Amino acid sequence: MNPFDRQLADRVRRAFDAYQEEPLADGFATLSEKMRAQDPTAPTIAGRIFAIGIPLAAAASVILAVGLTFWRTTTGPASIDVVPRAQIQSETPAARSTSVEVAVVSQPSAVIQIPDLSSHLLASLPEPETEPEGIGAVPPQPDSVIDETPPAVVFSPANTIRKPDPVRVAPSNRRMAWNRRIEWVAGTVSSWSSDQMANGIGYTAGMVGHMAARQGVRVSVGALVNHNRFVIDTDIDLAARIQTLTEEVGVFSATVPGGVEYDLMSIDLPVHVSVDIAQIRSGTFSLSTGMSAMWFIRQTFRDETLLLNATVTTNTDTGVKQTLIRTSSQTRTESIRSLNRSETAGYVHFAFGFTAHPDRLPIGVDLYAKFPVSDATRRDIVYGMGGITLRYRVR
Amino acid sequence: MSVALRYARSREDALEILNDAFLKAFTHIDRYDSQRPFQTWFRRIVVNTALDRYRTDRRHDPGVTFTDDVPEVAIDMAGIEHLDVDDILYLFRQLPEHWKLVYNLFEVEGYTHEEIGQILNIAPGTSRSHLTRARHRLQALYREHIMESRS
Repeated sequence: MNPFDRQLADRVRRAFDAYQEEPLADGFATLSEKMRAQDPTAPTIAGRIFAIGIPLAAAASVILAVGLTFWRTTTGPASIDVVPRAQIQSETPAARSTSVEVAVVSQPSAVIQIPDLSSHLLASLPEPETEPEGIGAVPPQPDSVIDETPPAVVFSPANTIRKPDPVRVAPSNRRMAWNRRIEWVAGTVSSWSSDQMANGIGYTAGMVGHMAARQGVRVSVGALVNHNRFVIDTDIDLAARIQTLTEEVGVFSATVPGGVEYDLMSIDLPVHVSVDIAQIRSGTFSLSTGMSAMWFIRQTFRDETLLLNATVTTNTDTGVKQTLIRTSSQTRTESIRSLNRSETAGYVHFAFGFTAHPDRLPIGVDLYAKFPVSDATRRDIVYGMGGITLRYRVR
Repeated sequence: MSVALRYARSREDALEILNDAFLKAFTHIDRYDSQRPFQTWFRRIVVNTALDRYRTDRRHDPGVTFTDDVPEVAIDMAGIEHLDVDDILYLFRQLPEHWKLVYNLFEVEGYTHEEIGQILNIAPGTSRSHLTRARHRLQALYREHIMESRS
């Protein structure tokens, strides 16, 4: 640091420390206007009640639906059977053949219960002719199958490696057995703020797994990536602002906030309950509700500002007032990169869907809406979203 | 206002910064510790507001670069004492935003390069480099505009 730098820095400090500026005559008015101008961007009291009331009611309905579902599952009539009739019929012959096998190897009970060790058992199986009589062995039966069938046949793989017997599953366990389904999901996202529908459309894509809690009722969880891109316009009457600006003779300038473009990417983790409401030949209609946790991984905001410069003069000869208005716009971009800042938000989800019959097409379609239960993003905006999604069954 | 002027590109920009700073002060007045001087607290708000504005606008910064060559001419050191606020602001406005910011934060606010690095999300070495370049450029500007106009 040379003497010039040191002296200049010292002069800068002293000059600005001693600097005093006359207070602006309209300084407080400008500030007051700015504070009032914040109100339109923030939800009003009525808007907040509207924005919060609906999600609370929705959350209550979700809790009610989940509670009702589990209550019906646990206390429902025992005659309702999860296993389809056709499945039981097809399994019956297999069950019979299994019982035949049990009859064949019914002599040493330990051998029957550990079929995987058949080779060892075959080696250790006492030979009937060398087995000493009366030492824990089963007395020879005149009509015993062992006597008539060679041991190699008894312990053939077909007989020893047996699948679990579905007939032996108790009815209560069958009700708890869940069917599972995994689907790819892709769709559109339209967004709205607390007081207006936003321009712009985004997309959502991911995977959702469905587990049947009982016939016609499913619990779904998954992970999706949402890309919301929308513009929310500021509700400012530009003509009225210009008229106010040009009421008196002079030179005036003003800034008018324009729209804000939001570009948001988030990971959506939904937990939903779906209930089938009607069946037709080609498929099933369903309603679903639940909660979504939204994790924002990228946020970009573009603010448009209109700069107005007005010159108002009066012709001294004619007395006619002339107004010259110059406008220019300014854009500011604020971008928060991935992982620099992440936020979560809660949403209540409602959907009306149609799922094609599995034998016909492995697809489904949903009309959905997500209502916010909290504000989100760095700008603390409260916004909801909705759209249409297509589901494709992969498993 | 003097703090905002040092960071702003123009007087209108400084007014905006000051307005925003007042707005922040009013809305967060509950965070003010009455045991400490109000001036210090508010000065920090103004600086932070100016920094927020810089972060928002930096994508549109044209990124003007200057040569660091300083002509070998004797400097009128006595003339530095006659610099007024308008002269200094004129010099500052000829600097790229990031140089001016580092210069103000280091020379006037008293931040270290490590702290500036954290504030502006740059390496401390980059902060040092910006400061050196800002000093060189200010010296060149002083010669070109202040000394020549006086001579």
